[in-house]
Amino acid sequence: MGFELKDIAEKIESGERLSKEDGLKCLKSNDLLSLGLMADSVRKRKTGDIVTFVGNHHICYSNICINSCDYCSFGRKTDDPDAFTLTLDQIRAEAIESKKGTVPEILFMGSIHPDFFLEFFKEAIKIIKSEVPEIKILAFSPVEIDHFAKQEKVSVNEILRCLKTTGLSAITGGGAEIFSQRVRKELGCENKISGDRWLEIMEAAHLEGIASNASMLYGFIETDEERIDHLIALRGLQDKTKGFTHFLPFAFAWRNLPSPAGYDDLKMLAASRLMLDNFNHIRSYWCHLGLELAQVSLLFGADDLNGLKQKGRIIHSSGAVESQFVKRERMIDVIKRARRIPRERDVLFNLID
Amino acid sequence: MDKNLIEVSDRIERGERLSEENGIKLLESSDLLSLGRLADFVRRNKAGDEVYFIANKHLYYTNVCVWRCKFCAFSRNLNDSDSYTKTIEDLILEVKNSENGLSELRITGGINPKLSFEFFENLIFSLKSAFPYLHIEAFAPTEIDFIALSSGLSVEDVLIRLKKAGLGSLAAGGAEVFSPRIRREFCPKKTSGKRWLEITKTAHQMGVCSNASLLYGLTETVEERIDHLIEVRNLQDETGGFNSFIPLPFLPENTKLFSFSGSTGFDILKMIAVSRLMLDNFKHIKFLWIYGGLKLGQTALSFGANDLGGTVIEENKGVARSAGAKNFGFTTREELIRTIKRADRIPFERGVLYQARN
Repeated sequence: MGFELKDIAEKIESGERLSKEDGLKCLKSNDLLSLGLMADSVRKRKTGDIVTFVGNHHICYSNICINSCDYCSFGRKTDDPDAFTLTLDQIRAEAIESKKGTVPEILFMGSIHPDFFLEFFKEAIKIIKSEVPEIKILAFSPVEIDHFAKQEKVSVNEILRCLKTTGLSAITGGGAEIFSQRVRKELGCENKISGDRWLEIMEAAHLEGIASNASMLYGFIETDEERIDHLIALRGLQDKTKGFTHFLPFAFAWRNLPSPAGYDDLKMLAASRLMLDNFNHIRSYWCHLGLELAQVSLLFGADDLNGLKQKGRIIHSSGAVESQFVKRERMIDVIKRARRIPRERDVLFNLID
Repeated sequence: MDKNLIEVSDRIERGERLSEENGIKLLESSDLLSLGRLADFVRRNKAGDEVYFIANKHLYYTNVCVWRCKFCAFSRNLNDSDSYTKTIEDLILEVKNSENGLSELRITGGINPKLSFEFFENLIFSLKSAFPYLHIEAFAPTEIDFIALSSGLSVEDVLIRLKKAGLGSLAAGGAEVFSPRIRREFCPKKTSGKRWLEITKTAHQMGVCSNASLLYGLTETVEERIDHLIEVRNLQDETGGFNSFIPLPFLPENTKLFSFSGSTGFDILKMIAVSRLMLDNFKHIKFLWIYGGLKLGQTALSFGANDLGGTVIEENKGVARSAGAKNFGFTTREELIRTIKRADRIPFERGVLYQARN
């Protein structure tokens, strides 16, 4: 093992929490395999050999968005020729469509639409629930929750309680991007809620009994320090609420900057596994990595391979490398061939028989 | 570390040659990270931190093939609507359109009985005359076998004449896996493994070097894979004529072998590592990035690879892309260099014989 990682390895072995400096050392190191070995030992301790994935169905309600974040090629203005919005009937049709496969999760997502109010979304959730009562609905991120609260002029807690009563199981970690205000400015998403606000809303959600995931967008413009600060902020909130089901780093391509290289992806996963000692699961995103590298990432701390279906156009337009659907059999085969145990899960990481 | 690897690991540290049994233990282990570390250790000592690549172009003169191996998605029958055989003029034009910065042409094709020895000789001669500064790597040993058989010339004579016409080295290919059992099932008409080795040996003895490869992920056993590596290692001991070794994952998409799941990222990295560890007389282990993408290619640099192949200007229907290496057909010199540097290694643009480029 490279000398620079020795004391980190010792801390990992004794289960000690890593500091910011440790995290930076991990990201700076090019001893990829040692990082892998450390992350792999933590993964084994935490989750054993089970690798989970989720059978999910995406319903994307609209791409018309009041924000225009620079890195997003999904959002449209109302009069753009390729702008779209689903009606409640179309949402019902999608829910019925989801019954064709056995899926435990519907990811209901979209934009910050100028004309939609909470009432519409409550109705949509009710419709989905009436068609597929047993399904778990994952929908909205803190960005939408904040938006609803402003629209309705009530607290986010009230919004969250109301959505939970309607049938929402969990919210997504979207909009976290990277918390650094400097990067958010550079990304052109100042209109979006700040990192602090994102954390605040997550805390509220967790306290209301709504779980969520945590994410981070990484690429070429943030510093190593900004990445580690982001992880530490998530770790801090998780200490308080235990409400995050898992962490998911997103690689992204922005303007004409190249997408992160394989080393960067694997190092980011390993560093996340090592830093986030209070997270049970680290998810690897095959849409960005490709299924081959995603399989390899199971040795670098990941224990979840995401969903089978990735209809979401948000993902695609920020630079996915593979077709957005993988067959259940292929997913199972890929996991088995990494000599791990494939298990399907629901949105809360309950294993499904 | 996987306890089955401890003995092998000791041998590697002492610089000892690995046996067949050692190789099998390596392939059977699921401790991929430890395999990677062993392979990385050997790579560093043997080949240093340079990572090689080449600016090359693949030319396919025909996709008509009478062998029609089951794992191939490239070949066509003569009567198929999308079969083609290019003229020498076409091929020259193709190179002219993309010659900027190239250092190598790599020319291969199907086994097309309509083509005479004169065609092959002219092809090499014309390309070499038109582009005297380009190294011409052409024809796998299997094509040489066919050219000799169909022309009535000996392998030596074929090689002498092609060399005179401008042939620089032989292309990798046709080695597949040497196991007669696998060849009977997947490519019964193809040159046997034994014959492949004979022709390669003849070429090496005449000063025509070549590359060795292994197509894996069919239904070969671990023994068959290791035996293949040992055959290659033995010939290298004898001739020293192989420039590099290239493990090729089988990609089932678009072939008739739908029931196969092919090679996954794990298999790919493991095979790179095991090749590095078994082939102690090879300096260069190549991961052709078009077979798994640049992200995986960069990762392979930690598992024993020290060559990423080429910038690869390959047409849409080349061998790799036909078989599902989609999205991965072409990269720029700049992107390769950046990828290598970001793995903390030293990019080295090479000529065919691993010399520095001028």
